[in-house]
Amino acid sequence: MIELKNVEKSYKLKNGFYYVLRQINLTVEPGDFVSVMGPSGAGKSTLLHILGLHDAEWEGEFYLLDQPVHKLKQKERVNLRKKHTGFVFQSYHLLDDLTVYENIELPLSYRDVPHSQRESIVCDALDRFNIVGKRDLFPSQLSGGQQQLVAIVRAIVAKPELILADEPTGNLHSDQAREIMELFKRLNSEGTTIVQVTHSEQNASYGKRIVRLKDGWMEK
Amino acid sequence: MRSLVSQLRYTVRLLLKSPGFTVPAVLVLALGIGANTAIFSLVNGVLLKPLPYPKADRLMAIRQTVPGFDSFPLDYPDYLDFRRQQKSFEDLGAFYGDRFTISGQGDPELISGMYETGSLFKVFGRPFLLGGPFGETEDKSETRAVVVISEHLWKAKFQQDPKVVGASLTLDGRRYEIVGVTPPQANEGGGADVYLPLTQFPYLHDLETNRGGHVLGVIGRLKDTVTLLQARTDLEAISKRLNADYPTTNTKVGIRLIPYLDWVVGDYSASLWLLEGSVVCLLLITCANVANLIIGRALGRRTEVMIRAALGASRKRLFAQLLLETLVLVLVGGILGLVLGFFGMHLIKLACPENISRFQEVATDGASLIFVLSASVGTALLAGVLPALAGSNADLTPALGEGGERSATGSPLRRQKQSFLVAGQVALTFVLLTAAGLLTRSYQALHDTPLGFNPRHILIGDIYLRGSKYPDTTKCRLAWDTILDRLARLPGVNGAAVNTDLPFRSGAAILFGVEGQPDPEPGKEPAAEPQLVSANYFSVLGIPLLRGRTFGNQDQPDSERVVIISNSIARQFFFGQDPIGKQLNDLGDKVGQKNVLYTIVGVVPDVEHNSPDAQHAMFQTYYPYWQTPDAMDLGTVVLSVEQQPDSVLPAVRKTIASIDPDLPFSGGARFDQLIEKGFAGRHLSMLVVSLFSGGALILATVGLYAVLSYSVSQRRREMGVRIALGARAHNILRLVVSQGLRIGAIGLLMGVLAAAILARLIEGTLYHVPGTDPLTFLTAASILCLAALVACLFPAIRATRVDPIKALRE
Repeated sequence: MIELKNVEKSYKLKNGFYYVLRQINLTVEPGDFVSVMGPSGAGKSTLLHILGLHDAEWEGEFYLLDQPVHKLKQKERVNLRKKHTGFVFQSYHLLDDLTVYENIELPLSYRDVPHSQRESIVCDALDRFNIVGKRDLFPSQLSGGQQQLVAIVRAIVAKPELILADEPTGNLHSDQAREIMELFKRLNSEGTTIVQVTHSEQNASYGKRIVRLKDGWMEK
Repeated sequence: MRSLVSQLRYTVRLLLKSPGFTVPAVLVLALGIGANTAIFSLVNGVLLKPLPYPKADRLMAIRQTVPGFDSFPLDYPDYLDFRRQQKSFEDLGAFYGDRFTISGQGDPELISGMYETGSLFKVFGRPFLLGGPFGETEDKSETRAVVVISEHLWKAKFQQDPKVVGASLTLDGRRYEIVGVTPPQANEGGGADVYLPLTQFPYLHDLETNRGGHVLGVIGRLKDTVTLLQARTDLEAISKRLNADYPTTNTKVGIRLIPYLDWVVGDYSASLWLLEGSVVCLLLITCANVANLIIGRALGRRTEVMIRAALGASRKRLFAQLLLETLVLVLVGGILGLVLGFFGMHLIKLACPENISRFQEVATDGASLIFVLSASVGTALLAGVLPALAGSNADLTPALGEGGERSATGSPLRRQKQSFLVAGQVALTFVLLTAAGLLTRSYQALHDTPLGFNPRHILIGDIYLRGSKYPDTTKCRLAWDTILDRLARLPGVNGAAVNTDLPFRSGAAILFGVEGQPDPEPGKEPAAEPQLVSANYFSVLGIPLLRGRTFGNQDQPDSERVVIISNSIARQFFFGQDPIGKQLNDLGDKVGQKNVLYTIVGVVPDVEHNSPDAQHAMFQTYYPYWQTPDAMDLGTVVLSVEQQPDSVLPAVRKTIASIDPDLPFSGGARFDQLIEKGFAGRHLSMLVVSLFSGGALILATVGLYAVLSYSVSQRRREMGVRIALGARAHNILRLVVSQGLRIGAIGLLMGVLAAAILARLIEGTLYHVPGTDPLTFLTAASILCLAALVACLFPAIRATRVDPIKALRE
């Protein structure tokens, strides 16, 4: 699914380059559940944003679903991202002015799914995750756990093959974190590939393998 | 479609949730669009909308030119020659504007009307509500006295009687048969209420025989296949033939063709275009201001845009979403602006003198609505595209990472865009301020021009002696004697005088010669504004006698003809001599008649006969009304009163009614107010442009303030560090103020360049003020600098109060 070859990310400074990621070689197979770990500033989130096609300023080779991302134009990258990835953020990043329903519907509307289909897909998702009662509430009316649940539903509603999660439980208490991780495990068992960034060994244990980063380097 | 509806719903919800942004933005837009709607309605209604005649663009005013005057009426023989010889027009028609006393329909009343050739109805294609026009036969025959009346008169005097055709109407004591009722047209004839055949004109014989007596307005309808240039060539050829055939009267007389609409509205088209230009400037400033507000707001929405992008929104979708918000804002602003524009237009109409052609017919119509729609869409695009482009350019990683807000990388660029918009606003504001300043200085110069007489405490009104009671010169003279004598004895009246051609009322001119001096070359004869006056006219209006005497008992109807001349005649023709006793003549020998001589008995200062900016004759001549060989039937009574002029009006009317109950005293009004009305157009332009520039100044100041406030809020940590490192209040103050003043200075520089270019365009409308008047430019620059300083000061003070500990923790 994912293949990184010598991927590097750096910032140009007055006296040279400051490297955030160095020579990253990583392969993620379909159905894998990878946890990326490492201290602050190790480059975890940077790596995740590269995988999520949010960041285009890097060097090396990156294949996503056999597509050479490093050769794609911006528009093609956006389409690839839109089609195949879902992203879960640490601070949920729900849109405050949209209801739960509208937040979940948003990725579908951006994928030009017809309105009637959108409605049934969103309703199914609300039902599946037991949040039908929350559909007309705004994010500010939900607890942190509920918000992250909605954010995950939003990330998977368009049925992406790959979910990228950046510290998905970072702002949650332990019970809520456990529920979210159980949910990820369930999604993974249903075939979704997951790459998560986490500080927590416990959360990492839900995955199939761990990739550790330090000062931008991947530990062997 | 459903997607658009849900987008709209979301947009409205979003805007309602941010009243602090939405309300000011909508208000600013409403003001900008409203002002544009009002002014466009005026420009459209007056300058752009065709006159209400079929194929109105084919109508041409035909004017003659004489040295010193570029638009002169035609004389009747010339008119007939042009009509017979021309090949470019379907037909020509001529008219002579006059006033008539209407009686037998309530109180006698003085109304406006026209004597016109029957062909004029056909030329105009004037529609009829009842009956029809009088034809050519009435032009040739005096047997039928017929009249076409206006819809207004039909309603006011005949209560819309459907059988009015065939009824009679008494005008100047003579009965006319009504043959038709015509709807109101474009007020181009000064609101004529009656149209009579030219054959009914009492002095038709004089008209027919007097080549050189320029009194007729002539209108022609171009043939469909003929261009303006071809028609001009055609008429110029005829004019040259007339020059050759009648050298005494037609030498150096040229011909001019003016599209009829331009002729009707020509006097104030420049002012209206100036207003339109100003209001477009205001709209651009509005756009820049709203764009700035949107850019400022985009800061708070950066994360939202990033999330949308991360969830798959393309840049196109994000752009459309952001632009939709501006569209909704503009739509609401546009609706509110339409309402404001509607009221604004009515306010302007109220402030306008009624006699300005087409102003009173202006309305908010389909064209105005289309304009509002176009202006709104244009505004949305202008105000929305830049922020939407900037806002939709999502760089995902910094904002989506935790703490991304602190590492905002877009801020300097955003500040740059905002600064650019503010500099543009400052430039446009400078242009508007300069325009307002120039108009104010021009108006002031016009207003301060000494008139040469004192119009204060003066009541004026017209009396028309035409009719069977005043058949000849003697009767008219006696009537004037009686009227003036009786009015002068009224309590509160200090003096009563009469003038046939009172200043600021009309502007006729006659040519004259000076006895004993070589005859002027044909076409270079001096022209004077002739006025028949009573002896005390000068004292009533406070015009001092510089030399000689005023008219007196020695000047009898049958004695030597006398004249009082303006000082400019004395200077030009009698320099170093005493003009008293010298003589002027009427150049009668040029038209095969004997010269009539007028002995100069007095010299008075020149007075401003028309508005100082109007084209008029250089000289003035005054004659005693009792020496005129023709009956002086129409005159303006001038009363000098002790108190408020209006207070004696009822007594004046009563006195005149006691002399002749059928005699109307028309338009009793204060002279000073009438003169003010002459300046009303300029006053209005000055006022409106000043209002616009004031609004623009506020918007530009707010814009600069917003940019600096944003900048300060973005640089709080920097300020904190600076303060922590020992920067003192004045260092911080200077840092912020210099940033603001730099933007102001760039805008000012652009504004000076733009204003210098635009000044050339409006120079023609200015009076005694150069377009690049240094005082105006300096004042406008000072006002802007002051405003910029005020705008800088508050954010700068806030910056000095940054708590370094708090700022560094943020």
